[in-house]
Amino acid sequence: MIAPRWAWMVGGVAAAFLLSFMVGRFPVAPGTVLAVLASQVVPVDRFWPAEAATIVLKIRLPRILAAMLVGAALSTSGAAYQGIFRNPMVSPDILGVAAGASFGAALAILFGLGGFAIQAAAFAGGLLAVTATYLIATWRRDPGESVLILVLGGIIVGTVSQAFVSLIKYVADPSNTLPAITFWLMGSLASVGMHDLTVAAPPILVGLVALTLLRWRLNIMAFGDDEARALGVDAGRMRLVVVVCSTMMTASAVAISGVIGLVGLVVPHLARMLVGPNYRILLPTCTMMGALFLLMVDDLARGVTAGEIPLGILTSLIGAPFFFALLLNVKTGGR
Amino acid sequence: MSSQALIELRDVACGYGSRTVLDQVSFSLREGEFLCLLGPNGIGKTTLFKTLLRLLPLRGGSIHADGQDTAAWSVRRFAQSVGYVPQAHAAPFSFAVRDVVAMGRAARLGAFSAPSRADVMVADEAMATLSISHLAGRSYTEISGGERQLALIARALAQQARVLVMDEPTSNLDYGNQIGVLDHIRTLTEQAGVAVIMTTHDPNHALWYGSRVATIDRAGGFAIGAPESVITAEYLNDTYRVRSQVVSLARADGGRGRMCLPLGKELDRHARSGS
Repeated sequence: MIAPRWAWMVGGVAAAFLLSFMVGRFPVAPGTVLAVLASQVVPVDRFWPAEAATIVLKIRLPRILAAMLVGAALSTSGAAYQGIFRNPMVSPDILGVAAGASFGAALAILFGLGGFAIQAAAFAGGLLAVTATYLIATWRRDPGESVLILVLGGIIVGTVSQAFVSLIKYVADPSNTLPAITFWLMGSLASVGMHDLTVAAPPILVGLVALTLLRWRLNIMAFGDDEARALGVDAGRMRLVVVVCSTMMTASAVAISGVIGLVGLVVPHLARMLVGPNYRILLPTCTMMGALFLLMVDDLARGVTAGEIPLGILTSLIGAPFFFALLLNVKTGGR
Repeated sequence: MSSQALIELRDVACGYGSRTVLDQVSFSLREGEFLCLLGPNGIGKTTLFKTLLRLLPLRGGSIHADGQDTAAWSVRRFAQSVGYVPQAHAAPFSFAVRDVVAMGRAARLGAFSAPSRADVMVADEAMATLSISHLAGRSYTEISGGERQLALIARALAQQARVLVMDEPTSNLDYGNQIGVLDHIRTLTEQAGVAVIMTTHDPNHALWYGSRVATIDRAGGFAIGAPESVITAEYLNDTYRVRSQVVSLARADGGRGRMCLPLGKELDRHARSGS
């Protein structure tokens, strides 16, 4: 009963993966894409020009993998944050995690640090931000207003983080560091290479596996700490594990792609409309839909115009009206 | 009734922060007992419940379940013995009722597991026990308050804990749903071998359904005994400042039943209303 649904999902992601190799200014035939990819695993007689292989393997493959990885990370962590904060209106960017992570990453770039240090700084910034937002939201316990206060807390933390980012840009060297930070902040996958992937993929995959294993228990957290404990779930430990995993995933995504807005809000909601709120099915659906969604938006970003639109701008333009529609519905259960 | 206590509180003291709200609370519950806890608002019923459920740290004494001290038990182990039924509430997500009931299996599953077919069958049986099988596929956010309360009781049944702690399960319910829920709880204690401790604000509910009644008075004094010996006109007058009469009537279906009749609220001479 569940199997056909997964078959559709996996099939959709696989098809989008292959089709994405054909998007871009340099035309590559479908057969060439398959042959070049296959040649990495099994011996294939070479019939394609050298630049086709370079474009498929060195330019498009890392970018496609990065889009899928970042989309999956932001969507899965967004769904997990929503469960752990018992609030369907939160996401990595609304909670301030993305802004905190970008502050950490910008600081690392300012000091001329490399891939792993940027990751670690982004993680520290993201964790600091989500903790601050949570403390603001729980300062005064007023359950009726919790949605509003959590969102407002995220805005405060996000604004402060952005102020620090601006400060870093102000003091950054305008000849090299400043353009690097600015371009990266716009949210783009254009400059992602295989090296970035090898740094970002492990923390994202570790978080993904952990959340996938724990996913059924996210349902129970939605009923609050006391009930979760009475049902036999150590709520404090569970929240810590989920927040650390989600923040690690978000920070790693931010570190390679900059801030890509609203994916972590839009995708979990679309997934919830399709498969319902049970995390057992919802979380893997978010992972796959997130990968699919960002891959398609990135195809749009690099395929529609000759000059490329940064990805973060597109997702924000798609996500903002969606967020508005959700706010209109929040009184009626916020489904 | 079996002789071993399913849960036993020995000289329990409970409170928040630096404040001790209740002290020297001792009682035990055996299989089939239905203990109603009565007391004014803000006197410490919720604190006692949270301490009993180990959601608040014990400030003194000990809690024993199945003959063992629970101090060193994990959250999971404790939940296998003692279940909690909160007041019917809204969930942030519209889970199917069957999924909500199946969440009662958490204490019986490993951290990385989800309910198996057998676990879902336990959940289905729990719903059948409470005659809510027809709600299984409905959304928890769309059913009525009385139905939600029954769903939460079913979740505690699926937990297969033998002690159920219920926090005002009849509040916010209409008369029919109140009696319906209480009937179900009594049937559970009589037939399923569970013990229930329940808070209520209605002394009549305690008189009608309780096999024993515990009361907390204004001074934080804890008393426990048979319903008719604890719920007296004097208790109601002293605790709630309500002049009352407890009457005994012949029931149309045989036997006798008691109920309390309020005569009027006394003005609080100490001007310390509603603590």
